[in-house]
Amino acid sequence: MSGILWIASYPKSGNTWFRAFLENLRRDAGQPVDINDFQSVPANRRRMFDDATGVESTDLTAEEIAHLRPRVYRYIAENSPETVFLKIHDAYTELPGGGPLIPPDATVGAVYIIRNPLDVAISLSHHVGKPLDLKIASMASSDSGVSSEVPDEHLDHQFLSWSEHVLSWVDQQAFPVHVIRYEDMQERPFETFTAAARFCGLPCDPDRVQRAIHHSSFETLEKQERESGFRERPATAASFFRQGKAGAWREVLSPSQVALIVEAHGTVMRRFGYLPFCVP
Amino acid sequence: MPPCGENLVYRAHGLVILSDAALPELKMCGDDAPPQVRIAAGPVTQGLPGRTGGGVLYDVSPGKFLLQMEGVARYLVSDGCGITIDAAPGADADSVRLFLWGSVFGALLHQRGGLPLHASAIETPKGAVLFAGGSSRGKSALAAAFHARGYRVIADEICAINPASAGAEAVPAIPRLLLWPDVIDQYGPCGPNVRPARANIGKYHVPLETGFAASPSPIHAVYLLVVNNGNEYGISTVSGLDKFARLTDLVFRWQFLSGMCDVSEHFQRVAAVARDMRMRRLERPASRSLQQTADFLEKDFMR
Repeated sequence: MSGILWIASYPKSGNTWFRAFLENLRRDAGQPVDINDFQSVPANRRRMFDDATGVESTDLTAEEIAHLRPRVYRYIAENSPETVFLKIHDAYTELPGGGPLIPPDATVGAVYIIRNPLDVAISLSHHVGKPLDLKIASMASSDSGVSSEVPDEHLDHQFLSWSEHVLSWVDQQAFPVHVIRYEDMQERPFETFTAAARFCGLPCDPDRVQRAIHHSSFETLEKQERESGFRERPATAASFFRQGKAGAWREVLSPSQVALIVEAHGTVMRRFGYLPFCVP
Repeated sequence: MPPCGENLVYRAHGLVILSDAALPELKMCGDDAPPQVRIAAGPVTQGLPGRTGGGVLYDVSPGKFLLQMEGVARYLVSDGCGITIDAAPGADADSVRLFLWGSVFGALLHQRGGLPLHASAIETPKGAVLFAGGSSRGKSALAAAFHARGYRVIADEICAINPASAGAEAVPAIPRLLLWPDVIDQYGPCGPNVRPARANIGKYHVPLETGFAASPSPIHAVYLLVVNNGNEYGISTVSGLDKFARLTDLVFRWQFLSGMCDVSEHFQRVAAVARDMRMRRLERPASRSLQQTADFLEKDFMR
């Protein structure tokens, strides 16, 4: 099976945790895979784009980069004998000139990881070092994304709103998507990760899956980051792996903040079991 | 980039260049040295006959490199001595030359058996000091910061290495820096000729009227720039196989080589240069300013 298998999610929804599981499952080593040695790199890594195109992305306009990204993914798929796993936080969108950002002809499928937006807001606020209310507002905005005047090592990406992001991936019909909930990765790890491994075409015998789950536990990832750092941590965050706890919103969010998120995302939250709230 | 009706002779990356169009980024060549490279406008066909490799925007065959920039130009580099440019109708000259001085010239240097590194470089009393690393690691910004301190710039973006018998040398490239507005505000040698490198991108072309190196300089050290999220600088020496691997990774667009040049000869060059090269890895806290990083580096390379 060759082509790209996307590990897609809104930011701070468990994407890196899932990638850690995948890396450990694929390598099945006696010890945890180094978090700075993941093969499933971000799809918007500038170096990958530059290597594939042969030109410096900082010499290109935003429109040229957007136009070229699907060609880059096709090139990567065509030149890889095996399935390529790429992390992506972009929403599944159509480009201004037509055609999707994610080329279906280069895609094997996608694992879409969804997390309760009430917890995402808190995690995102810590991650980017911005006030919670600001992140709640950006999660509700269709214009949400990351672009910088002075480029960093990643290309700009577009999230849309949290709800739009989820629906853009899970409701597209171009390729198969396996949806997993962050909360299920915590509460029912064996079943959740085994099903995902099967979807990805990876080995899913119980011992191997259990080992990969153990080697990608929050404690292991957090310990690795503490000891050697994590290259994907932004300067704005004290640590990438912060708490990893589902339901933290109950202790952190004010009733009005909860109301704002539910008002913006209630329909999608209900669809994925985040509403009505469970009473702990 | 229309032909100007006469042949103009310039120098860049240590090469004498004959061009039928004005190349305002370069210095005119004052001596009578015979041209080594000819740049001319002319038709360039889509696709490369006998293609042996390539990427999204480029194709290669033995001794040939074709870059196709939609709306800008098609460029054909041949046998390390010729560049043909077929500009798209209405293409602006700045865009045409930006890709010429980047990937196109990188391919030419590869074809000539050189060792172009993705690095900036300055001339110091100890020798050439190179700054290398991934995108947005501060290579050009550091060159600008040291230029403001009186050091002469050797190269930005591409630094050609001449594996001289007495040790590798860094060859003066193009008398300009490509900088982002935040760096220009702090350190850029401002002047009337500072202009956007290209329409609709944020980078600026900053010509170096003064403070550009006149001749190759033996390499004193190469610094690999890494950003960390801590508060302290970390510096260490890279050696052995790791140094060879890092240098391999610093080669400008090494992907062009496969199918265009003799790759084994290339690796022999890398190994020869790596053997005597001093390589240092600098971990720079994201929280520290460019000024602080320049202070730290200056102490290290002047020691």
